[in-house]
Amino acid sequence: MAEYYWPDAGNRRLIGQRISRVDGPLKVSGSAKYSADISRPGMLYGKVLRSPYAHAKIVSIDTGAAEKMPGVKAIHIIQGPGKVVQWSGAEILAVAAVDESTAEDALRKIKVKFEPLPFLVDEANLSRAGNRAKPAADQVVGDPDKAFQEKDVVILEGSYGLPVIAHCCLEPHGQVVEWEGDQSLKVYPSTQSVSGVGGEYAAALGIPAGNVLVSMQHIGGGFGSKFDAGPWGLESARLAKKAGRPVKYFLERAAEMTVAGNRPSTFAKIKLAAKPDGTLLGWESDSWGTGGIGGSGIPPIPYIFNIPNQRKRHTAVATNNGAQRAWRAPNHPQACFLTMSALDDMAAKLRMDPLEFFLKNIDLTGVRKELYRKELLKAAELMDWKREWHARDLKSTGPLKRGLGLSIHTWGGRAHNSKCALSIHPDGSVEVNSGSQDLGTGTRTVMAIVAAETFGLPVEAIKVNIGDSRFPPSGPSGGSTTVGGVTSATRRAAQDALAQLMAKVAPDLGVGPERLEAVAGRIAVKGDSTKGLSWKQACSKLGVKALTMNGENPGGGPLNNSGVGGVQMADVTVDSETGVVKINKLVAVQDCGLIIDLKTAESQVYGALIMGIGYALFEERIMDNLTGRMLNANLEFYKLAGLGDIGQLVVHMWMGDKEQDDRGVIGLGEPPVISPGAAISNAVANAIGVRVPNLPLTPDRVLSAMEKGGMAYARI
Amino acid sequence: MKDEKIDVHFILNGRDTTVRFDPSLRLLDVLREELFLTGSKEGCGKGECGACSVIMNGQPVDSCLIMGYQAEGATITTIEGLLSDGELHPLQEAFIDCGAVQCGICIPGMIMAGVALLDERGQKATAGLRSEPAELSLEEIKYGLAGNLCRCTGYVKIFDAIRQAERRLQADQVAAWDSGRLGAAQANATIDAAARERYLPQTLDEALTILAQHGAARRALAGGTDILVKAKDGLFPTRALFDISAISELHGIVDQGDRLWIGSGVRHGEVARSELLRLHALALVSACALIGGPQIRNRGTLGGNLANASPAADSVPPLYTLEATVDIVSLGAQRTVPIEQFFRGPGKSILQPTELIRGISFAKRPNLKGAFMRLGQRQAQAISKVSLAGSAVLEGRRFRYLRLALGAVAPTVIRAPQTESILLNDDWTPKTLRAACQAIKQEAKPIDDLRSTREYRREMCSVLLERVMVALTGPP
Repeated sequence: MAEYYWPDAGNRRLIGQRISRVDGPLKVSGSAKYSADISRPGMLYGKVLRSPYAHAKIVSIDTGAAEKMPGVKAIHIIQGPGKVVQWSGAEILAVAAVDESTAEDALRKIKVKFEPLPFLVDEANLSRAGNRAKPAADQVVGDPDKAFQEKDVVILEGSYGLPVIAHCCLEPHGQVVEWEGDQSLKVYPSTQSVSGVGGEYAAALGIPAGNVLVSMQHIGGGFGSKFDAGPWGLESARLAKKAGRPVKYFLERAAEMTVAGNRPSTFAKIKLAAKPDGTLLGWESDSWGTGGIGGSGIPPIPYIFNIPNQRKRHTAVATNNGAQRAWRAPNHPQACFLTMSALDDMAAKLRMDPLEFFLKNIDLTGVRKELYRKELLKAAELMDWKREWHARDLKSTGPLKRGLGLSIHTWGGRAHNSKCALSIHPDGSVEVNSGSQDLGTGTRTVMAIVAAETFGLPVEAIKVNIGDSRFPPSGPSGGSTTVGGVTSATRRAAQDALAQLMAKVAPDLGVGPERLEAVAGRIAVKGDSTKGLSWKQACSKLGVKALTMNGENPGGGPLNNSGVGGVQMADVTVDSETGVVKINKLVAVQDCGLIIDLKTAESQVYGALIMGIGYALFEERIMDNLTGRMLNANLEFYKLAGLGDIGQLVVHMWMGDKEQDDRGVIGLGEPPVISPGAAISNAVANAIGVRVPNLPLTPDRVLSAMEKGGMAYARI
Repeated sequence: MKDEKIDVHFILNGRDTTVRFDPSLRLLDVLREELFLTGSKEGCGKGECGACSVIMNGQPVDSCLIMGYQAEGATITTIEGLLSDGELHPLQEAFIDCGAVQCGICIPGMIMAGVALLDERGQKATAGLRSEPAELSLEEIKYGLAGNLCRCTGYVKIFDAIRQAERRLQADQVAAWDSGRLGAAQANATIDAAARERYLPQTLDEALTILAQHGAARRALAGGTDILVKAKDGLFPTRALFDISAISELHGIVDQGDRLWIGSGVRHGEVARSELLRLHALALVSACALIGGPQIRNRGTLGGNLANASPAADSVPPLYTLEATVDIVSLGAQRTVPIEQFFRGPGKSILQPTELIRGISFAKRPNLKGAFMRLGQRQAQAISKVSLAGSAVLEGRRFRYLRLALGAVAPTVIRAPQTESILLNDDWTPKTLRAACQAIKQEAKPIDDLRSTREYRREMCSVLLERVMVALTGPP
């Protein structure tokens, strides 16, 4: 049994460097093919008729006029008379036509009668939820009653909340589907699970799983919302079968925002108990939220700080909205915002610097307490916290108020099961094939780096093929599991292949294979680089057949690990007359074990920060209580952060120490998106002296919080 | 149902191109579906995300908000056209090198907007309008890319890439690197007769004839930044539209002596850059500079902003403060209406289906100052929650002329007459300003909507008034 390991810090040429992504040239030149860019001969365009009602029974469907339209090739009923739809935007039927405008015209000619039923779409006010609200958790740890009655105890009570937000991928969900006969299907989807999604098609369509070919070269964002085939995929396949031609269907922006995934809301009334010196004693929370008709679970509160005495109750509210999907670090941003905001308010009540308060209670963070301590101090240094922080009640003149806030977070990120096949060809070329996918995180790039590092070759010498279900299966890209999975599989296959290649060439060099090394494009004798063969010469010894080795990350092992911390700090200015919050600076200190590519790793953190600014300041699903529809299912009123909104971003990767390196590779996609909401909200509270209870921190919420907090902004 | 296909001629990535297509296609569809140039992406179809950006006649535009036939005679560069002898443009290389690319879906549009920004910068440098070697400021980059959204990469690396490319272009002494070079070919082809008759009138009479014959069944299309968004929502079929942007009678900013005349086809970007208007209508120039991002400003027109009749239209409050008149024409008739009588409510105006706005005019006033401020949902590319324009002539401590107009706080843009009279009838002092700031809250009739609340809007009228007044004259 071979031993698998990462090269020591001193022996790495590529791993940990800033290396440009290998698919960069394709992406910047517009030649990268996303699935929506694919056209097939005879391809039709799909469109879906959706329910205008949040809750209704379908009474009848009349497709007569549409069927007679020239250019309409198939109409497929998804939910027929008698079915009950549970949210606006629910799929009723699909049309395939020769072009999009014909398909749209056809939808307008179809008459569907509904019998509207009572609905609930807005959960923020729990008292209006009636029997849609169901107890979902009631947990007690230690003795909270006693904790809240300790002598001299300081008690903080507050309300906090985050609304439902959308994933809002810039490339919507969808696919091109093409049948070959009636038993074989080709799917070109936008998916986070190239190896997994085919089985779902096979099961739903009643064809052998081996007959579904899934192919996807690039994807324009997923964030946890693109694991399954989705009704858009399965129903398009049925539609294509009926039409006898390939069908392209990608969701319209409104549908993308309504039915293709969202992050559940969470609201909570929180009570904290602490000693006057800041030692945390007790936590009580009554939380509620919705992820659609299925309600929602309790987020992991109190987050990270394992307060000794707790009472937690959670109420799940079933609403008539499109269903939740995993949103980058599921449940963590909610738990983090609720907890860190309450802790920050407690620090203010105790008149403590929150940095001191967090450090005071750092033991409650468990196994990573030393790391958090170090990361907090590093972030404080990058923010110049000691100099810049002021207490909440500091009086400043002028309408502009500045404040600082902080937050900490955690995530797992253990590598998923992943396989690859690595081939060394007799001409010296190397390719690695895997049924993985590159969400923009750099999957291709990290695989190429690992193979190149192992073989002593430049990154460009490695060809990585992914995004095809015929390749060895690799896990879905979610939960920050991909980088560990694909790099471990690649390293294992590469180590094994190199051992075999060395065994082939060792006789020619007159030494045992254990005395050989692969460096600088050569297989040479260790300590005597004059004695060796060029990589090409060495590979020619393979004869006429490629040397192919399979690599598998079994899901664990010596090359990867799980569990990271992370600290973020925010510096904001609030215009106390208009309520507009401006980000001056965000600092993110993030650990993630051994970093394969520093450039793409940092890129994940920068990207997470802008997503964080988005949900901290702008993003919010707004439902209409009268019609049951989403009012801002577009990019016009559902605002993402733009270039003008982000301020200075400082990213510090916690790396370079042996402790981190020895942990192996840990995923990074989720953790840095967890803290921004809390850090920014805390900075705003610090700036204006009161908590704005709910995200996003819109100007009217900021002003109304100031008014309620007695901070009457008497003007002029 | 389908209309007959039409031939459209343009220069695409340096080549004379003729494409025959269904007139209901947008430029983005023509590129992607007819020409298989799939580098331009569709993110929203409404000009919000910029993923479909191309450079048209030297300016970045959203190809999802342009009908295919509006490309007639234009010079267009797409992401595919940036390659020169197989070499990437310095900005493309910089995007790779700086790590400014992640999932990549927004990147072609981002790069096209960036290239346009660098071209403009280079041309200014060549023309001596910009001192060397000052580099683009962060604010200039933010302004130039405000029409593009990215969901996953983080923007900072995009700023780095623009800077790196700028340095490369300067070092290589190709500061005026110009995607316009691709316009070397000449689009000489004559316009398809069927296309001209139905979609591309070349004179005002041709356009008015279409309206006279079809009335409300046809609608004039200029910048498309509002009307194509409504078409995307299915409010009316795109085949009802026809293009009026080629009509020369609707263009130009003309000094008529005691008045200025602006053609209805003049785009927000032209207004924002006009030195003549900066001199005589600063509030209007400030407002147009804040509309949308570059792609929207390069298409949206003043006439379109009026015809759309949104109470939140940013160009309208300044025109109220200039006491502008609207010059309206129909076949064989014309009328002139004060701008305050033009609007009837949200989306409603006095414009008849057979009429077009020819232009807008207003009196020149010596020493007129102007200011415009607004609050939106975010820094750029956002519809105003509340806006306020002011135009004023201050002599000593007395205002000789003062007009204030509020946007997005009533069914139409409104003047603030009580507030104006407080300011006009007293010396300009802190006390007068305080009284005015109180009064203006009573003049607004705001509502709750998606973007904001009634209370917030009312309060902000007062905040904006103070800031606009200080911007107009300095503190009292």
